[in-house]
Amino acid sequence: MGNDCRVGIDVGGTFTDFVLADRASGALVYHKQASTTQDPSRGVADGLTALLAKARRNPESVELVVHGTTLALNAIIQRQGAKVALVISRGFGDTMVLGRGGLPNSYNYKHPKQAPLIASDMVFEVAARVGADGGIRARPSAAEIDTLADGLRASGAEAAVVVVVNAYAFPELEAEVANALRKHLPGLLITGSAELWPEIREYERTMVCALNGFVHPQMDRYYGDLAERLDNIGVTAPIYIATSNGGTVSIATARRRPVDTLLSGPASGVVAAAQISETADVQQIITLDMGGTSSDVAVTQNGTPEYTTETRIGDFPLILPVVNVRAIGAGGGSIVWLDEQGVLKVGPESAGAEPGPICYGRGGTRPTITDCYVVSGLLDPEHFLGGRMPLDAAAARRALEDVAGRLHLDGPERAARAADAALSVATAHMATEISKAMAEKGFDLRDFTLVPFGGAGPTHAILLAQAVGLERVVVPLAPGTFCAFGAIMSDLSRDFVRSRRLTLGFEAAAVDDLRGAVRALEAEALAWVESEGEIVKDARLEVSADMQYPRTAFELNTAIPDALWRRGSAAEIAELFHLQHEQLYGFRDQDSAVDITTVRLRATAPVPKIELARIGQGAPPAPLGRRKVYVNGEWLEAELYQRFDLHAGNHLVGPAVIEQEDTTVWLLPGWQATIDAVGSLHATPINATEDR
Amino acid sequence: MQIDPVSLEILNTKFAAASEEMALTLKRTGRSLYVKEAIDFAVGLVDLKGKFFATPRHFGSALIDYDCMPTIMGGGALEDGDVILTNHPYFSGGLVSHTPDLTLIKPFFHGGQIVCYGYDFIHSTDVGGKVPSSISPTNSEIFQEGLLIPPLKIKRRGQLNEDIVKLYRANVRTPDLNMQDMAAMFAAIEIGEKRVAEIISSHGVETFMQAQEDLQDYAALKSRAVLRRIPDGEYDFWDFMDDDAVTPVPVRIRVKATLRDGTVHLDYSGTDPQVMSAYNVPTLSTRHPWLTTRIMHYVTTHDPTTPLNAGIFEPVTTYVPVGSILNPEFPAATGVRSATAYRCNDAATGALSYGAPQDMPAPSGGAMVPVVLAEFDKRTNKRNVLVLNSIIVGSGARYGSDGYDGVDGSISTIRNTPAEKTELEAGVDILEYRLNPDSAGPGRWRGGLGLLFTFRVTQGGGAVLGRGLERFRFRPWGMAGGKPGANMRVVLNKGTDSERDLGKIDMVQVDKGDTVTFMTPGGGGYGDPFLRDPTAVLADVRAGYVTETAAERDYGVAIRNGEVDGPATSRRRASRAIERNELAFDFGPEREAWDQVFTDERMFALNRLLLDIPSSIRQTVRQEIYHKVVPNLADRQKLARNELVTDPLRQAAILDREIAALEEGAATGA
Repeated sequence: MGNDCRVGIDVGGTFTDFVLADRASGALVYHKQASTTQDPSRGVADGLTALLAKARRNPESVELVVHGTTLALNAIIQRQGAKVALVISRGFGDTMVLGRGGLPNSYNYKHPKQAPLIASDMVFEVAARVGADGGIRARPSAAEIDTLADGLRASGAEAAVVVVVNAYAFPELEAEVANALRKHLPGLLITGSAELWPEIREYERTMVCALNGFVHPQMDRYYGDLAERLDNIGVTAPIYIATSNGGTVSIATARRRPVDTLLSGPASGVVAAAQISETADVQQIITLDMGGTSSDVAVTQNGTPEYTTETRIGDFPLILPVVNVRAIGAGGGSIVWLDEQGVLKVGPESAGAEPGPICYGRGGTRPTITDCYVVSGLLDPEHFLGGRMPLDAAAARRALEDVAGRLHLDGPERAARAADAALSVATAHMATEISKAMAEKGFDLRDFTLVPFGGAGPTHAILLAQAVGLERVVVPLAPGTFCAFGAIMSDLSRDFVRSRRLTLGFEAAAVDDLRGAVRALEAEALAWVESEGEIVKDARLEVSADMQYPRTAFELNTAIPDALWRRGSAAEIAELFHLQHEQLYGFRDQDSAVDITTVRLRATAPVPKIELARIGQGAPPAPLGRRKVYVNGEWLEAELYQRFDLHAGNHLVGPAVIEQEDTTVWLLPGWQATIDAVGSLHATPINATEDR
Repeated sequence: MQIDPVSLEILNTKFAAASEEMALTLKRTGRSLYVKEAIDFAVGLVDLKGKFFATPRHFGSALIDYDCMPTIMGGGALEDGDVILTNHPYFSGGLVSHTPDLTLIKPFFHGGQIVCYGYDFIHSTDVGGKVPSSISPTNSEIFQEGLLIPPLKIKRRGQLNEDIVKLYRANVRTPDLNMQDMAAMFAAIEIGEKRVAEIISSHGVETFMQAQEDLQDYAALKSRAVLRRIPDGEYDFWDFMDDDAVTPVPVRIRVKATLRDGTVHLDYSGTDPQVMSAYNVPTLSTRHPWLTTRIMHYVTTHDPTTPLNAGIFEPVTTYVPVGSILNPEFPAATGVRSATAYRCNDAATGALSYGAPQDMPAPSGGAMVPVVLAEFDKRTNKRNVLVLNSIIVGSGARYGSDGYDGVDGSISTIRNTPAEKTELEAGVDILEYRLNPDSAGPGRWRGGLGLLFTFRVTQGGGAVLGRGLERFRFRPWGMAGGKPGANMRVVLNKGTDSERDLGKIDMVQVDKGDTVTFMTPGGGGYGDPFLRDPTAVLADVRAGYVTETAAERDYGVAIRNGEVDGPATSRRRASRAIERNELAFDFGPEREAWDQVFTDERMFALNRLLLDIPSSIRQTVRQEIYHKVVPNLADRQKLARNELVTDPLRQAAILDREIAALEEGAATGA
């Protein structure tokens, strides 16, 4: 056997997921291992060893490792990162405190005051300033740099960020200051804001750099450990790291730019769903990632996820282009409670992984959604995580009986009735959040298919689809390790940006400036792709620009086809914007000039695809048994199946429970399911099919 | 409540989401900056009594306490597909608070019956009138504030009334933009209608109707439960605006809050009469959101699960005398009513804090100022009018926490503009955009700091405008022994030989090379500053938020060589008694001097008498009295230096005489 295996790894807070794809046979092997939070790379190495054993492959057969992790994200959310110093143009030292104004919650004047990511005693103002015209307004003397370097040294900074106002367009002075400081402080990571992300808006650009600096030392160390540990177990294949834009970068790039990888987990899941969509023949997808603390959704159309440049990481805004993943509330750990008026509520408080739901028996005392699943019979307490973690159903029942009492529900099945009620409340909440997300973009819900993954996604998906009015749910074969699977399906990809004010309409030279800006980005991108290793070839470049009519404050990101940015006229390029504006708002301002504010380029280098293995055809298996499930006010006898017993073409009718090691699919009465060639389960309402 | 507690929560979620979808649709399809950037719009679902039963949490103005009934009745008999349009503050019965707020209401039908109404408004870019954007503080009559549209049908059975559209387009400066915004308003209401139909189809029309009522009852229960935190009692409070924009006479907002078992009555008697500028708040004698904002925030802060509907206000009643600035008579101008609403909110906060001092924040810096530059644009050969930045203030401190720095959560949550964006558009270099040192009201918990914004003008012939500047004279007060925030300042060429305090500017000419600095107040402090942890004071000094001088003077913390000098601090802090009274307010010396003359008793008497005078001459009479009592109001220099009350006894005697004369006039019917 040659080196023809790819391994996807997703390091989460509780579990590390593994997928091994055998490119020769198309077979996939899965593994889940408890994360080792104190020393995460140890769990990765142990899990990888276990995975290889399970797959009966040796370490040399691995040709590629793709790794995603929430470590950096968690460090930011928990505010446990490096001590970062900010060196910024004089007059702007409070930038991190001021942000863009506004409060996190305008309905709560007691909302806790937030500490900035960089405390004020770590901020150093410097007499370095460029005007919007590129003219130098202030340049620090050598003596000032000396003093500044002394200050930085004394501050105990583990990373430093240099921000000169207007450096997005004129980066030279900022680079000069950064270089001067590097000479004084050779051991310290010093990053100029324009090196990392030269986009206009000083606060947001500073935040990109601050977040990068905040997680850099820790991630640099972690990636170093990871490479070493994999090497020690004989895995010498190149390691790529999943990024927030649904792509991957080499481990070397990730060590330099950990900020690009913050949201890799959800992004990989969405990429995996996009892959599934090809074989499942669905073009418009809403992914549902339901885990312990929250549920996230994202939209994918024709294999391309929706991106956003306005997202939040914990308390902070992030302007990097990332897969647009939206939180829609309840997860398995969301708490079920009653308010003073006796009205039933679910969340926003969550029991998380620790103490977790009551049924986990880890000290949780308040009932959660997962407890509701257990009490209503959706989850088998004996077979949770393949039987590795028995659940305390009796304790969950007692807690929900208490809820039932306060809801004035009685009878022997009162706990189940309370669970059913809580699930309806949670479902209604999630359904309206999805509906709102779609309204925000103007999408028509009815065109979409729900693709659930994560531990609880497949359990809740059909309840949710029914509430939202979605008529199709596709559950992938291994939803519990979907993000790890997505990682190995991802292409190498990185975004490049340069803010530039160009006006198409007044200045004849504007188009030449645009071409110059794109060429510079192109050169940067191609050099980067070149340096990323053997596995990738032939990068595809996508150019776009943020454009607006002058004096309006909102931009549209408009794709510019290759031929147009290379050879098109100003009018032809402006027309792209006019057209998009017309499509969105129903009119154009033909006589107006068009301002370009930011030029963007995404370089994508495809990694050779993996063909998903086809699962065999076969007769439908007999149900393993029946399970009582409480739904809509009555106990139903649901047929029970094992997911891996199902064959392509099998057809199931709800109510049915389909169990697998890492999740349970709950097929509601009135729904039916068929299994496709690669094992995905397609569920549809029975009536809807008859209509067609 | 008749609906079971599970279905109620599900309908609660669906109603709120339906209104949020309306807001999202409006934001997505709207075109003007007011919609896209300022989020100056609102949407909601309205019951058959004209009350809001669902409004969005994440968007738009939180103005829930409106009565839509006068507007609905104004539309006459309604058929399916009709849409009512209005922008008339008076004819809409207070549903519209100024003319740019173009408002739509559409009846939603089911089975031939109206089941509820959809509502939205957008702050339109311009609705005609004296000035572009239709709003100027110096407008004195609503007729100067643009085209007035009484409630009328813009659509009949789904057909747009083209004649009204023609008339409308002919009267506004930005007809295309306005019509695009109006299209977005229609689209948003249609989404609401669609969601309502879906809710009816899954829950039935009877449950839908019942839920409108039950969810308001539910909110009312929550509201009352929260309001019971405030002990029964009667609490008086007043606060001031520096002036009314057209004269230097201050404006006083006065409120008595009466709490009884979780009910609140806000009586604004004693508040100053309506003014000859655009600061009037048209409440039309209704309980009105601009009067009750603080109560809503009090409830939602203490019970975040409260549904955002009119039920919140069920335990609340209000009274405002007709002819007051908070209940003006037609045709008083109302364009800049938000400036007054700000102070109204502060006054209500003060009154409620008498009952629940640990639950209330001290006031914010009390202003929101779009700093505007008018310049000649070389690129387009046109005169440019640009907002350089929206300058706000710090939030007030509260028991247990410093105020938010450089952010005001009390009324406005507007975003600032990046310096890099501003410099691309305007001929300025921004020299500083930072927190304003020593601007926060000192306290055991200090106020949030105000802002300091300095720019240099790089072209000649421009002008700077700063409308909405406030708190030059009357500072954001301190609570429970806390001190007031700093006064507002606007300074030309700060730190140079030609430095000059500009005071309250409306518009000021600037030359190439001039710098202009806006220094906004921080919020009021809470608790005696001598009780503040010295290490917190030291941290503020190190951050540059408090100077060493102020640390010693205001906080009693001596700092030597960058560290706290323990013995010196102890000595300084022992030099006076610690204020532990939770009801010890500090209004600052300016206000204390003013109150010596213009006592609450005299103001009550004066305002009662002024309201008996016809509104056409009321302001003239009022100004004459003030100028007699405070002659320095006519002296710009003295006004700027706050030298107004120089001989309180004598001035009080003059005021008494004037009040007596008015009384006599009233008695004789003169």
